[in-house]
Amino acid sequence: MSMYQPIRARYELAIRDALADLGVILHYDNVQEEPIPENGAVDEYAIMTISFPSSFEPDLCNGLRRIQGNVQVNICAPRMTGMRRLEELADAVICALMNINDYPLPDNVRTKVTGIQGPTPVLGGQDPQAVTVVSAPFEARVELP
Amino acid sequence: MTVKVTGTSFDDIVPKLQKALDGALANTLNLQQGALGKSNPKDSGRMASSWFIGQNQPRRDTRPEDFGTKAERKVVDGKSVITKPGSRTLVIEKFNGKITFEGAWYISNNVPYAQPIALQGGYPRSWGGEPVPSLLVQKDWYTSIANRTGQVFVKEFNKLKP
Repeated sequence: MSMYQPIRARYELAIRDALADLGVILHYDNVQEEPIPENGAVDEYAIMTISFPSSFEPDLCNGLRRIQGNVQVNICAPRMTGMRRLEELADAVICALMNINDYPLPDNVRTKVTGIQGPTPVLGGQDPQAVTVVSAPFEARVELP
Repeated sequence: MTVKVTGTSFDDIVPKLQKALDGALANTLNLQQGALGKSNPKDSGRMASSWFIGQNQPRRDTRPEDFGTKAERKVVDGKSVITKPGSRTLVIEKFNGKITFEGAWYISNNVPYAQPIALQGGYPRSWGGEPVPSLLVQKDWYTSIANRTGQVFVKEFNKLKP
């Protein structure tokens, strides 16, 4: 199994569940990358991106890997409705990130974010969606089978 | 068996530490500026070449609007298609002066479209139709670099520390 997959799964599942409680769909990397139809949707949704900019980390011991990465969640909601909804959704994402180790799945990962940036609003243009961005670097320890 | 511990006088270690901190900060700013420029999606290269280092305040200037050559496009079936790619020019301007571990330092980009390119990976649709293919990039290219700044500094300091 890829050592990245369980890390990705932990973050994707935790944030998916946090946003699902508020009725918002999370789109993952390489899955439904362009959820906005041509005529411009006004639905609420979030797009999550995870990257691993530093993969050359030594094994802590046999079968235990330490990986550093970055997670970014772009949250989209209808424009001209104020910031309350965007910030409510951002708050759910931030809470999920802060408590990422409480999430039980998958169980071979220990991870923590080492800082959270945002929510940063991106309001330029006249698109039907307003966007706010939450990002965080993280460290993870994965037990390989 | 003997365990040997050696010390260095305070007066001797402080200048060395100061030098290491200065060097680590200079290396970090230069590395991060370079990484942002290289990872920045490029058409003419104006934004990628507009990451500047500022001391105590972010720099507000940018490369001129006619910097590089923009891609030529035509509309096919209602979609903008590139017929000739842009120049994708990348010129990294080094900080003109000595970088010391004192005060606040910024790496900033003040082109008007910097925020959506950095945080969303492309132009908002209302800013010119379909984003050009070179802008369809990993959405977190900016945050993955910016969020690692502390780690880069620690790594550089560990290389230089006395």
